[in-house]
Amino acid sequence: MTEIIQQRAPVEAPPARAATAPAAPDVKPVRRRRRDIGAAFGLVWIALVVLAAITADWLPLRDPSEVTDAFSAPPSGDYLLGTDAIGRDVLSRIVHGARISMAVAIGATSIALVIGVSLGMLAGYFRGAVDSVISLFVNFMLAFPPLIFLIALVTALQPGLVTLVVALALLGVPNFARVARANTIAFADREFVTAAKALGARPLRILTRELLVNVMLPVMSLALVVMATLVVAEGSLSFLGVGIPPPAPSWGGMLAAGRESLSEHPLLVLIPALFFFLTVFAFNRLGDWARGRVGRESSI
Amino acid sequence: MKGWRKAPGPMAAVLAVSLVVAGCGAGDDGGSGSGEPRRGGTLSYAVNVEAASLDPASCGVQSFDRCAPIFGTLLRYDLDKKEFVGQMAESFSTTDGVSWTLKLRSGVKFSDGTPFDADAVVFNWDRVKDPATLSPALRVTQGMTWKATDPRTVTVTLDKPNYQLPWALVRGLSAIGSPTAIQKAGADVGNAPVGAGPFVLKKWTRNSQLELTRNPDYFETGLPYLDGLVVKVIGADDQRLNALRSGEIDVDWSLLTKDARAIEAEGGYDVYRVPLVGGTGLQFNENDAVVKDEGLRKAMLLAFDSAQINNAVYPGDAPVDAFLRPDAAERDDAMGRFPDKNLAEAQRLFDDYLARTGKSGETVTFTCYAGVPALEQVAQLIQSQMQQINGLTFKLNPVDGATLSQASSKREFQTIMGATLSQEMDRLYDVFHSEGALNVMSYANPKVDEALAVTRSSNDRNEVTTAYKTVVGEISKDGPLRTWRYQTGHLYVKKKVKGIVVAGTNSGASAYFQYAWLG
Amino acid sequence: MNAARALSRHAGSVARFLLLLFLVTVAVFLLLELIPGSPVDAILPPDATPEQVAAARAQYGLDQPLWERYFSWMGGVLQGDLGRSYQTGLSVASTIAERAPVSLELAFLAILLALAVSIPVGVWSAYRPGGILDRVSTFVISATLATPAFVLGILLVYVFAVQLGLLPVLGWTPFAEDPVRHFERLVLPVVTLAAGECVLFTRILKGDMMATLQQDHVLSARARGLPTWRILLRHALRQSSFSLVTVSGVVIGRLIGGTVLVEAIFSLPGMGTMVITAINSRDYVVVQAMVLLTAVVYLVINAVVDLTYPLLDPRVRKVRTS
Repeated sequence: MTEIIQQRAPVEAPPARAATAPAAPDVKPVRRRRRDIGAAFGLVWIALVVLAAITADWLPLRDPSEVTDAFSAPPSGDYLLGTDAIGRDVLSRIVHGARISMAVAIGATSIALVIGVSLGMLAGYFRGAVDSVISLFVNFMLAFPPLIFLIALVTALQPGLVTLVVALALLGVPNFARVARANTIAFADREFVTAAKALGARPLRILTRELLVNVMLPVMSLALVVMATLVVAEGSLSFLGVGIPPPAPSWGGMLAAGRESLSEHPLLVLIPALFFFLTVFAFNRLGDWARGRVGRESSI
Repeated sequence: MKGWRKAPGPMAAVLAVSLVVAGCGAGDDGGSGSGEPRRGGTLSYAVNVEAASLDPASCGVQSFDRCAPIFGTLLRYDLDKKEFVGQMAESFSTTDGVSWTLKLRSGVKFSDGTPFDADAVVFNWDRVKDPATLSPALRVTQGMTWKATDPRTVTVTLDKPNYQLPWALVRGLSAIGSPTAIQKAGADVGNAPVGAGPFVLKKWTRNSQLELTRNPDYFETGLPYLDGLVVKVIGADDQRLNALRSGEIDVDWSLLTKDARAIEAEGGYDVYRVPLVGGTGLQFNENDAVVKDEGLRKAMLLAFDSAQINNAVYPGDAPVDAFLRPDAAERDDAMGRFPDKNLAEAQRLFDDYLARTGKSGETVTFTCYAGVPALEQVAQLIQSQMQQINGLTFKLNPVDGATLSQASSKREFQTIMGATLSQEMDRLYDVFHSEGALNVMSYANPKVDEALAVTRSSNDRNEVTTAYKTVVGEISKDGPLRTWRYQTGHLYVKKKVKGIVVAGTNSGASAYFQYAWLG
Repeated sequence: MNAARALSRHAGSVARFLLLLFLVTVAVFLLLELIPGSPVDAILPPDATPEQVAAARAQYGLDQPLWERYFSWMGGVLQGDLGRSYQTGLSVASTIAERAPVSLELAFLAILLALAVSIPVGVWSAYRPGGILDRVSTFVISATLATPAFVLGILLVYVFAVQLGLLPVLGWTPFAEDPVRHFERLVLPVVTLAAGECVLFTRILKGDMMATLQQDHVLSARARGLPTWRILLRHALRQSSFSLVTVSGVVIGRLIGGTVLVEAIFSLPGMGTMVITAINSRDYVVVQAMVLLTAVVYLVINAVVDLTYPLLDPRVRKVRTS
């Protein structure tokens, strides 16, 4: 889970600066002239994983929980990626495991985004008491040690997909709230907002019609980073034994189980590790690309 | 491989324990005592979990490995002779199984200089009996009263005969601490152990190691041979083995057959085996509205396949076909075995169950461990075996260890990954007697109750063995706890370590380290 | 006038600080209350008698209502008493004190290593953007970012311990027992932990450096023909290290509670594994104390960063005064 915070920190530190010094000369993003191969790869890979997650049931794969007597078999024509310790098809478990990863990444991020952006925009638009209360909540979430929070919450609610999504979503809220708040503040004084106000538009209308669009750009690029973080978080929890419970296949669970026989059957660790790597890499490349597109105006 | 564990000896229900005398250098007691014992050196040994406390009222049950070197044990179970022998106490004897006499040695002192006498024993046992001490040995003291009749004698009276009582003086009631030190320590009693055993505490770094040094006033003259003993905590089995290989530790234990084979193949070690009673298994709650149906349970037992589990998760372990291992003296296949796998019969029984109850299908929940990969795999294998019965949905409910033990003790489960493990057969009384304190299955079989009563009330070895055969046969046939492995405690000892006297524990094997020496 | 305003602002910060601590501790109490299984079940044997259960509940105050337990715990904390562990009967403070050195050593070495790697890399990639080192480091950074700590940890174990046999696999050896082995065992955990921080430090330093290198005095120093290393170190690095310093502060604070996963991967007896064990054995007093401790560290470091940031960063200072 160091990752959760690792990626939270760069998000954390700059807004403090951006908020106090909006006019400070910032680093000019270096525009990439050549095509972004990394981002293209990211897009293709994520699309593949999502597609696999959606279509897992119709793909010509074995049942991911079908136990056979081929224990820890190496890759072969029958089992393209081999079998795990109790004879289940690794390929099929990877593909079905993509569901958990994607459900957690997309589900939790969406929930966190909706809640975080709403809170952040309210705080940034109304300022004053509303801002204080929401900032207090955000700081409260940040002060809680994330991994202890996750383990305790998941243990309390009993491990499961819903629990995991809820817990990780809660953890993601502060990030979105901060970015949404900072950008709302930045845009709230712009002409089009002032004009709308002068025309007698209500706050809700201004927030949804005028500000949301502008806030969403940086938020979306943050969302990609958060998704990467949450894929890692889900894996970390499974690795610690409080993730998605068996028999549901999950990459983190496969890794934790494979670790038991690391020296005899390293593939059982290396295969899920590779999928983790590629997926997180893809999200990060996409996130970087999106950040570059969003440009200087917004602070992420 | 040392001799004693293979030959099935007569069961040790002991009538009058008459004793090994103090003062003899007991170095030749163990299997590998070749040559003249040498004094000096420090031996290090690793266990898998840290002791919560070194309070004598609790550590005799929970952490024998660390308790025995500091406090000694009142009695010791000699695995070679299959009988109880005195250790800190001289003898523990009875004529009727109701009145027992504990005879102490003269002149034994705790390491703080206070006398190890009858009052000290009474003081310690009174603490165990006080619910506020939260001692895990309290159950043993129910129906038991005691008093000090003279400085070297404690008389014990039971409300009904129990010839298995000496086990309590090997385990839960075995550790006697200095009353003066206990009173002085107050709430810190768990961290300031003062006993009369062969070693004294030097330094305890929790979750890392317990350092002990020789008790210069230990009553067995000339013992211990070692200057020091270090008990390390290394959680994972493979890590402990690596530590043994790298020379970081001299003695290691595990329950895994594959470890024992690997170590034997590598050479350079003595491997000792202590057969244990029980294991982890599929446990049924016979109080549950669904699982109470005998036909349904039988169907599930017929679908159970321990060979598959062991092939996948515990390679090298033989399939289990009865509650005790085939060579156990208390096993008689004529009295009953676990049902052999038979899917057709399982399906027939299950269909019959559906017809009887008018249901179209059934769902049974299996509460199992989350976060322990090997046990998760076993749970999934059991699930796939059970679901080979058409119409049966076998749902996993993986929870963490604490939640699982709560579900177990509150009996809030249909089926659960339950376990019993002990060195002594007597544990079966608590687990399988209809009134046993550990009978979370609500298993009730009059034949078992009757036979278990005999195991405690009889002083005839053959009669007790026969009674146990009945118990083992019945619990195998009924299968309230269907195990998949025969558990064995293995002790791996570097060749340079001599004079190992093996002790069975309820989690494996250990040793009486006062007799050990480095060659 | 100004002083009074500053004072009232600080009073507000202190009040917010205390309110946050209150909320965090209340929340952890409620959260732990939700976890099934009581501490008593974890302490007592499975065959405990009802009298023992009652005695245990009374001893640990578990027979009192939740709020009463909270306030008696809080009362203790205010007097410097974090309570006694249900499991071991030891004072929580001494338990933490025993485990803390492991985590702190790990965190400290990881930060040192991260700085030792990221300063030269960050400086050079800022100096020669698009150069070999920059391209390689950018690639390594994105690869490292994409490798979760638990994956990296296992891979390192597989390569260096299992395959090459260069380092011991897992576990801990106290320094006093065998210093060489002690550090051998720390290598892989420290590398695992440092990898993520390295990425963060390099990114930040590179960004700041590139900005600094555009500034007038650096350009003029360059025009004067000073040697490159001197420009980079004397002029640019010193200016650019402000964010690095503050971020290192934040990172230290974060690592206090952030070594959990690495400790779990490598079976190190630090505070992280202590908390996991405590949650698993329902040793709530220990969990509460750790949450309180991490929250305090987090809040204090953030407050310090907030207060000192304007002093350190010339850009912010400029904006404030203008």
